[in-house]
Amino acid sequence: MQLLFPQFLWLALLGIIPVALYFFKRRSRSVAVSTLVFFRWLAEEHQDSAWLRRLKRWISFALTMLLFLVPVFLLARLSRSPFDGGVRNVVILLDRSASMAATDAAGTTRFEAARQLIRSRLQALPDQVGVALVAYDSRPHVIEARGTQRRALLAALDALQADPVVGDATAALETARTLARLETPAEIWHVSDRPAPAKPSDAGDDQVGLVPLSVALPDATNVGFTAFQVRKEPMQTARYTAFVQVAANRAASGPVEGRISGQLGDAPLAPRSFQLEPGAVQGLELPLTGVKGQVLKLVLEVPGDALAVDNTLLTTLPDPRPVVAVRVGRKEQVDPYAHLALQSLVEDGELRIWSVQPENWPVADVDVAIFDNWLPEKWPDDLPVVVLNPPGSSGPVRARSLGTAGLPHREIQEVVPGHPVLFRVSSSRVALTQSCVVEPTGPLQPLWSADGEPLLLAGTVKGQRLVVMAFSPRQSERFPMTASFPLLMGNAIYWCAEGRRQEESTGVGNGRTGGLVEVSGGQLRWTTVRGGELTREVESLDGGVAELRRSGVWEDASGKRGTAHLLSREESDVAAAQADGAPGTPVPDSALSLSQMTLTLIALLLGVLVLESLLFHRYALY
Amino acid sequence: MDAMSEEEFFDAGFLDKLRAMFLRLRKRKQLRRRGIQRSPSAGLTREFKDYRHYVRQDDYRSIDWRLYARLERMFVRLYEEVQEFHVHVIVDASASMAQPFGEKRRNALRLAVALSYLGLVSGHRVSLYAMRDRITGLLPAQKGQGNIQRMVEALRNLEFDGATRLRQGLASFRPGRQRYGVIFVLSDLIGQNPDLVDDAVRNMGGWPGESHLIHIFHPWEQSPELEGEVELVDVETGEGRKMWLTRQDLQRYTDSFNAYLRVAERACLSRQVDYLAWRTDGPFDEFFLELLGRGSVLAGKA
Repeated sequence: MQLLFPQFLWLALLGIIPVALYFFKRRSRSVAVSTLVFFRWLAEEHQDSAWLRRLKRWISFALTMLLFLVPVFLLARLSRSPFDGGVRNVVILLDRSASMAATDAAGTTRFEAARQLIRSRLQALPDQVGVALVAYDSRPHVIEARGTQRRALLAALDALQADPVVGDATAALETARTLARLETPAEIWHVSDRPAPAKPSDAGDDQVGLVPLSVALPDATNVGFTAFQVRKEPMQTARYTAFVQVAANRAASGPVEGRISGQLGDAPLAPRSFQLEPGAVQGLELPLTGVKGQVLKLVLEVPGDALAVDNTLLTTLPDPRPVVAVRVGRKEQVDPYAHLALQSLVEDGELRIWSVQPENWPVADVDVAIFDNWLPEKWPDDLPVVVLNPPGSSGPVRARSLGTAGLPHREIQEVVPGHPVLFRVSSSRVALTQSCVVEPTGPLQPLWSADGEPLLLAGTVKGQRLVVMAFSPRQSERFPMTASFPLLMGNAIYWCAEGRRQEESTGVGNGRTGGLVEVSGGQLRWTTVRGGELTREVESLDGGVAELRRSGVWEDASGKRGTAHLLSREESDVAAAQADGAPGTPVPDSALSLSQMTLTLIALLLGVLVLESLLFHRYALY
Repeated sequence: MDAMSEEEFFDAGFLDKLRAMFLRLRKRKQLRRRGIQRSPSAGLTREFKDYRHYVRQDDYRSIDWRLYARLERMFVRLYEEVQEFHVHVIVDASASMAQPFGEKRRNALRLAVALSYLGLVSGHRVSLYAMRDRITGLLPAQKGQGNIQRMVEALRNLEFDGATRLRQGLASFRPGRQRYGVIFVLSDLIGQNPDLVDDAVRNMGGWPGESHLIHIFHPWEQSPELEGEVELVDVETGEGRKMWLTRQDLQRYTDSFNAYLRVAERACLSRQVDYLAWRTDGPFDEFFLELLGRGSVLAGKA
């Protein structure tokens, strides 16, 4: 038990008044009457023995004192606390990630609900308890350091809003714990639509309580874009393909139907309908015909969709510069079929192949390195690599050559059919001769295998993509002569160079919100979608680094452009409050016990009033 | 208790009102019931009635010698005998008559003056008494209209204090049997024990003559305007009592008071005592006429 506002205990001195009145025989209003006879008759039924009258007077006195003391304790907020000494420090950890913008049927966002919840809880908090406000999305931000000025904190709270950024509660929780440990006992109010992350073991947390406060919707249906890319069709003019991925939240009540509509420039796109089971993900390809620089807007239309920020995509059609790949290998060991395939790609003008001897390695200003039957001793950490028929091990590649004969395989198994490296590559009736044994360790993922041996592997090593082909085209039957081989080579090069090409060649990078970009000019010009219409806004910057906190296309003063979208499976998976207490059930805590204590005191006060009324009014004591 | 100023209850307007009232009384047919106060027997008053022959038992002093000288026959003169009443006006002089509502004292004194005036004007003997724990005379019996001022003075100087002992007071009163008595008791009937009102009225029933009990009370006493916590102080005994009164309590009080009025009236009726309750907010004229209209012999010669 503790008093949240002990300063109100001074009001208990008012109890001296009834004490004085009791001991100094409170004088009632004196009324002269001709006779007391009739009043005596009136009071005959209340005439009690002397001891009973004294007892009643004591009860009356006790009730009077209670009438004074109960309101005093009400004002002083008598409360139970999880800590012996009471909470001295509260850190409000407020989720302002994209999912907090989900709205209910009345149009109230989760962030607004969180704001109201925080306000109501702050009202029940003693003034001397220090409160800090930490808002987080992808990174924690200390909005208000620990203080007792509620007004400033509430003003800062009002200025906050949910941003279309992925939330990371783990790092924010650590920040909040650091703030909470400044003065203990402390509580962290984690206000979010998601459950709090698991509490790591920490000896110092005995004095820091975590109070999850859920503002999740009671039920929610949401479908959002979770992946997006626009590619120019290789070797085709004015042909692009938009790859989008849509996902339905797991809390959806049933199958969700929707459609994707869009606009390229001024021309509307043919809508695409889809149906998703709860929690399902679906990829869609949207063929586009346009010219570079045209604005592409895609809108997801789903009835009853709770979250709007993941329903719009906005970008411009890219103008890719040719991918520059350097082929490194000894001239006498170069595979002729691979050379032919690369030459066929070069003819389109979108790919430039430089061939160098191993002595000239490393080569600067290239997008992809192709190691043909050769591996460098020092693995390049800043360059994506396509490895053809590795002779040994180097860097992340662990391989052992099988010699000149190789190991023929008459058929292969496709392990990951949907991988971009295998885009439009036929895997049936393919006979290959394995030239080396590659150990599929680390991030390398087998895409093709034969008799349990991986023949084609792909993965990302230290941020750079890597494709390993463990077969010799020249020893393989027919496969180098089919269209699948140059497609495979092209896919491997384009997949490896994907990020570098997007960001460096055209200046338009498909980024995610919450990321940091270097900009110049001190401001960003944003093109966003608001209310279905394109809107241009200007964001002023303090430095040369901007945090992308909007969804749309940005451009700095130098003409550098990029896009930022939420594209988060986690944020689009809008959670719903559940009866089993997982994300949505309020957790009993000290504040609730406080209100229960207040209710108890109010009930006691009313009881005293009723009893006093019965004793004094209905059954006169005197 | 301070004496009341004469102007308070006996101003010129009040006297004029009394005179006008008596004129109206004379005209009232029902109040001209002769025979009630005139005796059929001959008496020794100065009012000559007739002659008759002298018989042996007659007082020879009543022989009209002048008529004997003329007629040489003895006749005795007969005089009309007029019944002379003794009007007793007993005023309750306890403190409750003056406090907390002075209207009771004012009305009692006005009524006492009016009755005295009526008695004196009608040629009766009028005695004034004050009743506290016992009944004491204020003045010797007065007769003649000229004594009204003395009676007014006596009433004006009457002090209201002390407690009323209704039963003892009325039991101590012994009106004379020489004359027919008309006794008016003006009281608020508030004593130490209202349950004894029946015993008190029993004493009145034993008095010779006709008895009237005028019960004077204030409207507040019937329906007090109180609520909440009050300390009630009895003006007669000084006793205090704290109470918390609700509207229901006050309603029960009014019921008790009304029941007490009925008990007093019933007790008077059973003892052939005229009972009349008078709320002080009622007009004096109407009440006085009603009092006389209830068959008082005092109204007969007015």
